[in-house]
Amino acid sequence: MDLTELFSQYPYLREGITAIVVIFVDICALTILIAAGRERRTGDRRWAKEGRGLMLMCGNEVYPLGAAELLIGRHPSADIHFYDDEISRFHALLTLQNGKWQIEDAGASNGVIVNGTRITKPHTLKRNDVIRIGKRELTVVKGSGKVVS
Amino acid sequence: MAENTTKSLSHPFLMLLILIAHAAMMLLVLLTFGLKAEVLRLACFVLAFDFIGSIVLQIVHREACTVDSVLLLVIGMSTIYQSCFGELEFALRHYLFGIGAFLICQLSYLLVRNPYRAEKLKPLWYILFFGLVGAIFFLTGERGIWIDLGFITIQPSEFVKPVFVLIAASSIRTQLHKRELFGLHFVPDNLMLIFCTAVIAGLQWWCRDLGSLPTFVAVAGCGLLLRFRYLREKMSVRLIIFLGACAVAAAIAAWTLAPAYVQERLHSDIWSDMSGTGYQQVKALTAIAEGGWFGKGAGNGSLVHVAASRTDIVFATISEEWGLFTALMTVILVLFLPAAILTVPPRSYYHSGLALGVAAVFMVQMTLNIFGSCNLIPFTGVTIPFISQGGSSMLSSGILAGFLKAAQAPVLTSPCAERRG
Repeated sequence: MDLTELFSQYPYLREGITAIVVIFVDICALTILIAAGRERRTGDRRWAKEGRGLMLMCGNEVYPLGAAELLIGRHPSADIHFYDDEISRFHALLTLQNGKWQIEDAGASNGVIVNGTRITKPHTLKRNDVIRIGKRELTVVKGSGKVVS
Repeated sequence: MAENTTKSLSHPFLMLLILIAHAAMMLLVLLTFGLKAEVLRLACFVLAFDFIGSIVLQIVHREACTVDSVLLLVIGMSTIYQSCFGELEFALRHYLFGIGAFLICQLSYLLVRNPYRAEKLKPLWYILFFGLVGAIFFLTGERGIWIDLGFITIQPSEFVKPVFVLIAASSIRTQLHKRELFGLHFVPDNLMLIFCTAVIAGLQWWCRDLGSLPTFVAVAGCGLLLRFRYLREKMSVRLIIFLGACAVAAAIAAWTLAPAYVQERLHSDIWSDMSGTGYQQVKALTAIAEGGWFGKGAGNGSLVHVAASRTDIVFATISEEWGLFTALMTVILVLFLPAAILTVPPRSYYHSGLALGVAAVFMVQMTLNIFGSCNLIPFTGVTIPFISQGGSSMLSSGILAGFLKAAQAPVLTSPCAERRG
C-alpha cells in the first residue's frame, strides 16, 4: 500500500508522526538554547579580552567592569553606588572604547580626582591609577576577568 | 578581529540540526501529498536556503549564532507552512522575502553592532522616521497605510518600527547631557522620543490603523523606563504602584476615547453576528478547535478560504492544519529570538535599549495576533513576525533581529578605529 494512502487512512499514524516531528523540532530549539548558554561563555571571554580584565578596587571590595558604560554615584540606579554625602547622585562615567577605559566627570559637585589631579576632560585609565570620588578611593586593578563580587 | 578568534564550535552542528528539522517537516509534507514535483521543489528550496545560509554565516560572521540559527529555523518552517495552506503551492514570494529578511538582518547587525556609532547616527534615524511618516501621510492616499507601486505594495508603517526602536534606545552619556530652558532641566533625547511617540500616535489615528499603536507605545514605554530607571535598580513599591496606575489610566483612557469603529469591535459579540463582523474570528476559533493537538494534516484545512488566513489569523490556520502543539511551538520559537538576549547580556545601554525595544515589538505583535485569533481582543491586523505573509513585515522583522544580534555580539571600537581595523 502507498505510504500516502496509509497516512490518510490512519489518522493516528499521521498524528504520531506529527508528534515525533514536533518533538524533534523542539529538541532542535532546545539545543539552540543550550548553544546560547555556551555563547555566554564565549561572550564573557571576549569581554574579558576587550575590557582588558580591568576592575576597580575599594578597600576589600572589588567592582568588575561588566559593561561598556558604567555610572558611579550615590543614586541607587548607578552601577557602582556608594552611600556617601560627598558623592553626587551621578558622579562619574566610565566608558570602554577601543579597548581603553576612560573616566569622566558626570557633573559632580566635588569632581573626580585621578592620581591627585581633578579631571576636566575624559581621562584614560591605566593599571594602578587611583580614582578619588568623595571620600572613597578606587584603585584600577587587573583581574582574571571573572566576577569577584 | 575579535570575532574570528572566538568561533563557536557548535555552529556547524546547529546548522545540521536545523537542516534535519526541516527535512523531518518535509517528510511529513511528503507523506501527506505524496511524491510530487512541487514537494521536491519546496524541499530543495528550503534545504538549499539552510545550506547556503549556514555557509554564508560560516564565511561572513558566526558570532551570536543563536539569533541566526533561530532565524533560519523559523524562516524555513514558515515557508513550509505558507506553501501547504489549503493546497500545496510553493510560496515563492514568501520564500524570497524570507531570504531578504535573513540578509537584511546581517546588514542591520553590521550597521548597529557598534553602539557608539549607532547612537551617533541618531540624526539619520530621525530623518528616516520623519521621511517614513511623510511617506505614510502623503503617498498612501485615502488615509491608508499602503503605497502601491504597481508591481509591489509597501507598508511604510512596518519600517517605522525598527527606526522607532533605534530612536527609543539611549545611552547613559546621552542621558547625562541635559539642557536648561525657562529654569527647567531636560534631556533633548527624551523630549524627542515623546514627540516622536505623539507623532506616530497621531498618524495611526489619522490612518485608522490603531492596531499598530500598542506596539509603538510599548517600545516608547520600554525606552522611557530604561531611561528613567535602569534595570539594575530594584524598583520601589511606590514606583511599581505609580507605573501600574499609569498603565491602568492609559488603558481606561484608550478604552473610553477610542473611535466609534474601535468601540464597535470592542463591544461586539462574534457569536451573535457569525456571518458579519464576527465571521473571521468564529472561523478561526472553529478551525483551532477542529485542528486539535495534531491538526487535520497539511493542506487539509478550510480556513485558507477566509480572508487574512495567511496574515492576521495565521495562528489559527497553522493550528488547524498542523495542530495547536505545532502552532504553540512556532510561537515559542519566535520568542526565542528576543529571549536569546537573556543568555548573553548586552554590554552597553544603547544595545540594552535596542534589545528591549525589539522584545516589545515581537511580544506585543504576537500577543495581538494570537489573542485576536482567539477572540480575547478585537482584530488588530498585526502580523506574527516571520510567520505571517507580507514582505514589509518580514523585512522589518529581519532588521529587528539584526538589532538582537548586535546586542549579543557588539563591537566597541570607535568608527574610525573600526575602519582602520
